[in-house]
Amino acid sequence: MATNQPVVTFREYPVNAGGLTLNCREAGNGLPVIFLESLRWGSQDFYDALARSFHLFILELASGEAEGIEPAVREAAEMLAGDAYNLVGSSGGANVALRTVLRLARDPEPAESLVLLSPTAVRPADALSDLSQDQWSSLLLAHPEQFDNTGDLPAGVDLRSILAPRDSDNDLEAMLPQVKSPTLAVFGTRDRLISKEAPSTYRGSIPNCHVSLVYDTAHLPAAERPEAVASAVTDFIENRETFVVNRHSSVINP
Amino acid sequence: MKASYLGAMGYSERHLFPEGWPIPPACHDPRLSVQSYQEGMDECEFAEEMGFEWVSFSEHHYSGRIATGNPAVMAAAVAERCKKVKLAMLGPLLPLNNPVRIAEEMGMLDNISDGRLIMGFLRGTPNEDQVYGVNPSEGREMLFEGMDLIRKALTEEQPFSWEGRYYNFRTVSVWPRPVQQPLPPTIMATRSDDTVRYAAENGMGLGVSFIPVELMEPIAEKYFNWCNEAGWQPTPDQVVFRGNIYIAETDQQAQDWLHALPGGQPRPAIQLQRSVAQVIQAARSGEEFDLRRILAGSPQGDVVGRSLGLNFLGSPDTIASKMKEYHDRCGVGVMDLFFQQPGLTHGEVMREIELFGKEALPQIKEF
Repeated sequence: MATNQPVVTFREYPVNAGGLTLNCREAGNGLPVIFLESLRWGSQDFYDALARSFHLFILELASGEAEGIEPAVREAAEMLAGDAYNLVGSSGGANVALRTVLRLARDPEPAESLVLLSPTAVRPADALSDLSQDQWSSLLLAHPEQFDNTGDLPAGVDLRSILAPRDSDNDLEAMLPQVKSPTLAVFGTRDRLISKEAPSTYRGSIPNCHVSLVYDTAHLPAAERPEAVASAVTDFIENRETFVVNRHSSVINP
Repeated sequence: MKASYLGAMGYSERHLFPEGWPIPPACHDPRLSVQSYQEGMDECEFAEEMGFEWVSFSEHHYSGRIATGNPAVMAAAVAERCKKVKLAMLGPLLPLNNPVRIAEEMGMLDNISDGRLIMGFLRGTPNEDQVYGVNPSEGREMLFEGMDLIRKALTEEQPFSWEGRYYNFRTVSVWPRPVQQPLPPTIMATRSDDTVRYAAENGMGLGVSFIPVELMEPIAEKYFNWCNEAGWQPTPDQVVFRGNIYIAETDQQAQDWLHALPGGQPRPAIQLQRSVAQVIQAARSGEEFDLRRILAGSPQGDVVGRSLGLNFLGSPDTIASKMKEYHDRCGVGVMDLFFQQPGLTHGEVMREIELFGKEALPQIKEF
C-alpha cells in the first residue's frame, strides 16, 4: 500500500452480542461496514484502505465459535451500525456472512450490500477434507515468497475450522437465489480452495451478484493485492451494481 | 511432421524498403498493396492444395515485410479461401493489445472456421513495444496476465470482472465461445524459461522461432521435462518451429541465390537506431542504462539489426534432412515456414511452395 496514505488508527474493544463476546476493531468514517474476520493475519493494508473510505467495524470470529455465530453477528452489527450496513466477510467470515443473510433473513435486509471474499461454503474444491495445517497454510497465498512482512500465522489458529467446507452448508447453494442484497463475490485466480465452477455458481444463482476475479492471488486476495481488492470492494459498496460504470477520466493531457 | 505456411502477406516491393524501422507510409502504393494481399492469399490457398496442414499468422507492425498488423483480420479472410487448414494465430502480441479483444477475436475465428483455430501468445519483438507505447520492462508481466485473462474470458460461464495489475475490466462476458471446448489448442511462442514453464504447467504447446537446432534442443528438453512434472506429455502438434526457408531444385541453385543477395544473407528483418535498441534491451532486462554513454559510442543515426539467417536452404532432400534434425532432437511436429524471402516474386514463392509440397513434404510427413 502506498506509504503516503494517512495512518489509520483502530480502536479495539469487546462486543457482547447473542450470548457471545466478539472482539471488535473500529476505524474511519462514512458508510458503516461490518467486516467478518476469520483469520487475523495479513490483511492490515486492506483494512486501512477500507477505513479511509468507510466506518469500518471488524468483528473477529474466533474459529471455534464460527458455527452458529450468525445470531451474534446480526445483533452485534445492529448494535454497532444500526439498521443499515454493508456486510463483508473473508473466507470463513464470508461463509458466516452468507449464512447470516440466508438463515436469518430480514425484510428489509439490513445488509445493503454483501461482499464475499473467497467464500468456500458453496462449491468448495474437491479433496479438501484431510489436509494438514501446513497444507491448509500452503493454500492461502499464491506468492508466499513475496509476502514476508507479516510474520507467521498466529499460534493456535486452526485453519481447518476456518477453511474446510461444512456438511451443514450443503443447503446453501439451493438458497442462493434468496439473497436480497446486491452482492460482490471476490475470488483469487489461483485459489485452490474453491472449484473452478464456484464463481459462476454465485453469479448465476444470486439475483444481483457480480463476480470479481483478482489476478495472481490465492485464497487471501486482500492480503496479497490489497490495492486491487480495496478498489473493487470500495467501488462496489459505494456504487453497488453501478460499479461496472467507469467514472475515471481518460484524458491524458488536457 | 506437418507443414505450416506463414501467411506473411508481404508487400511485393519489400526489397526496396529503406533501412530502419518503422517503414514510412510514403513507401506504400495502394495498387501494389492490394495485389500483394491477393497474392499472399493465393499462396495460402496453394499451400493448402499442396498438402500444408496449417496456415499461420503473425502480428507485426509498421512494415510491409509481414503486413498483418491485425492477424485476426487476415486469418478471417484466409478462412474463407482455405477450408481445410488449421488457422494458427502465432500470434497476437499480448502486451500491445486488450486481452479481452483478443479473446473475442479468437472466439470469432474458431466459430467462422468451424473449430480450426490454434491460439498462440507471444510478447513481440523489441521494436514493437513502441507501437502502442508499451514499457519494455513491463511486457513480460503483461504477457502473463494477458494469457490468464484470455483463458478465463474464453472459459468462464458467467460474466465477471477482472482486477489485474495491468488490466482492469468490470464486465467481461465474451461471445462467441470457442467451438473447440474448453479451449482451442494453444501454443506459447517463446524461448525464455519462465514462459516455457508457464506453457508446460498450463497444458500449452511450445513454439520456437528462427534459431538453430542446437539452440532449440535445450529449450525443448526443459519443456518436455516440465510437462512431465506437470503430469502430461505434448503431442507432436504441440511443438512448433518457425523457420526461414529457401528451397530450390538443387543445393547449388539455393546457394547461388543466397550469394546473390547483398551481403550474402537476407537483410535483417528489424533494424533500429543503436541507442533505441540498447535502451529497449536494457529495459527488457531490467538493467540500468546510460544514454549519454550509448550515444557517445555510436554515430548519430547508426542503425543496427541482425539477420535471422535461413534455417532451411537447399534442395528438397537437404531441407527434409534438416527438418528431421528438429524433429529428432527437439520433438518438433509442425514446421511453420516463412517462404517470402526478400526479393522473391510471388511467382517464385509459388514455385517454391510447389517444389516443397511435391518433393520435401512427403518426406517430412514420414517423421
